Amino acid sequence: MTDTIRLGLLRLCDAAPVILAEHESLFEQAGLKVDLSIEPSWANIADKLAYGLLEGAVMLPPLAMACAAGLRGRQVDLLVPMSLSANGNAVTLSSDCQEIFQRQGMAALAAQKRLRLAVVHGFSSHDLLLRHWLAGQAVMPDRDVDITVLPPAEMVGSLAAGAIDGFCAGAPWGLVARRAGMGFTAVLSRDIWPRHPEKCLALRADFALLDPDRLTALLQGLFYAQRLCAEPARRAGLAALLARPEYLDLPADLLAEALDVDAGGPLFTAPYPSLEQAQWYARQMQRWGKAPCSLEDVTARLYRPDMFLAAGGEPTTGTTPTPNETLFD
Amino acid sequence: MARKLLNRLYDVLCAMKILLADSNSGRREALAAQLAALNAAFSIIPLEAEASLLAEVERLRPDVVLVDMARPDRDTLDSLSAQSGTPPVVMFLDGDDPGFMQQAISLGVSSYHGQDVAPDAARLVMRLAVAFFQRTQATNAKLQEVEAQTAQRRAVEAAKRLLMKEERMSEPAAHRYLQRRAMDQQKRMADVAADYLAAQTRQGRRHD
Repeated sequence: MTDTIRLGLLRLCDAAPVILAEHESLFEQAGLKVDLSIEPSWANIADKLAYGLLEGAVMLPPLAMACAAGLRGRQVDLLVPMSLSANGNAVTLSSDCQEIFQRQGMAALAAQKRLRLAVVHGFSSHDLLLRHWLAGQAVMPDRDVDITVLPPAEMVGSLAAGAIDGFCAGAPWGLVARRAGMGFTAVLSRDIWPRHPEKCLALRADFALLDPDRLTALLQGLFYAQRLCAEPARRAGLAALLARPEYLDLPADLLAEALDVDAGGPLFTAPYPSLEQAQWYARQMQRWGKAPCSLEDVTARLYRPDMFLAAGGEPTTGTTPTPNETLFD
Repeated sequence: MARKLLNRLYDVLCAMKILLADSNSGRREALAAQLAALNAAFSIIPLEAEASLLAEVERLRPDVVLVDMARPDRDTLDSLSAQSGTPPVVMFLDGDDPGFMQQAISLGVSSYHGQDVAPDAARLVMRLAVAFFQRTQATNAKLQEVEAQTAQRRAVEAAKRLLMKEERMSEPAAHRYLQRRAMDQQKRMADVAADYLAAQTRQGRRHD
């Protein structure tokens, strides 16, 4: 194992704590050498974790579960010692759908035409939250609507071209569509499940278990970065950092708006890696036939709140309950 | 006679439709030609960088899809087997050879195949692709090395010209001067030359 900790991430607003930690030399100050590896796809992150080309990554909880369970690619033992963000996603629908959606609701819209909705990965919080929201309005995913996968940066173009009718993606892509006049926000993910876990820190188990002091230093650096990201006074500066060509390469004012917590942007004050919340995702993956029932055991081994507490993390107060697991048919 | 029949049977079994989703057009064409030469029964479909990976997979239903990991739309295939109503696509994994897979991933090659494709056939395509990606990487590295050397030589030449002009040195004297400074400072001659040029530029004395 090398001394360098290679962390993978995608160009998204909720990668902010890791980008800020790197930029403010927080890892260096903690005595760590961290290399950020910006990847074009979740599949790359998953494969590089699986084959030891990354020690850790900013990860989607359902994808971390799928990797640990061997549901995609090579099985790899991962651990999640902290959550990096909550909320931040939105379901955006094409402007053509706005009138019917607002007057008659989602079920009427889905009855009128077979909708094609895109999510960022087949194993994603976006997919599971979208499915839960649809099912709550008696619109059955797969039966009544098609759910497909697209890279976040291609969502708006596909919406404009009519290739999809809507999408569920993280910040800032809903806002980009809205500003371009292509779509409107049907629902924010925080209104589907308030304070839902969004990105987590997933580490290879062999790395995380090797050196507890190093793990603590890494987590503490990220705790601090999260606190900085959550300060309202820093939002403009954070937006300017994320706006750089090597990161999101989008206008800073747009990113500042996308980072607005009050408007449903990513929340950086919920770092506790709650197993109970992760199990909701696990059960949803089972519900939609994406995972076998053994996934809950895998998740129980994956989530490590004990490591979070050992590193001095504070359990988030006022955790919201997981949504009802309403079942149809 | 029997051998001929056997060969034909083998060709039919190997009649695979291979979609090449490599954004590097030169490498894509070369790989397509190589695969076609390898087995006449292969049908090779090169995919342009701008074309939609998912749409083409749904339309053409290839047996093997070779995906360059620089493509952001790789995620559209990544969970196809978890989506319903789509062609079965499994990611290629060489379970016997994790070292090979690690090499493939660090080179940026991934491949997906249908559930009924023989693992040996999928492996063959993947091995060939890895060799091509490796060659491109080696060529690029070589190219960069040559470019770096050229730039270094240019810096030394420019510094010498400036020394000859500003300090009225002869060419051999300018060369010795740079050599001596490189030895004193334990730096490469090209770096000393670059330092000298930068200093002269700051003083507004560089005219090239």
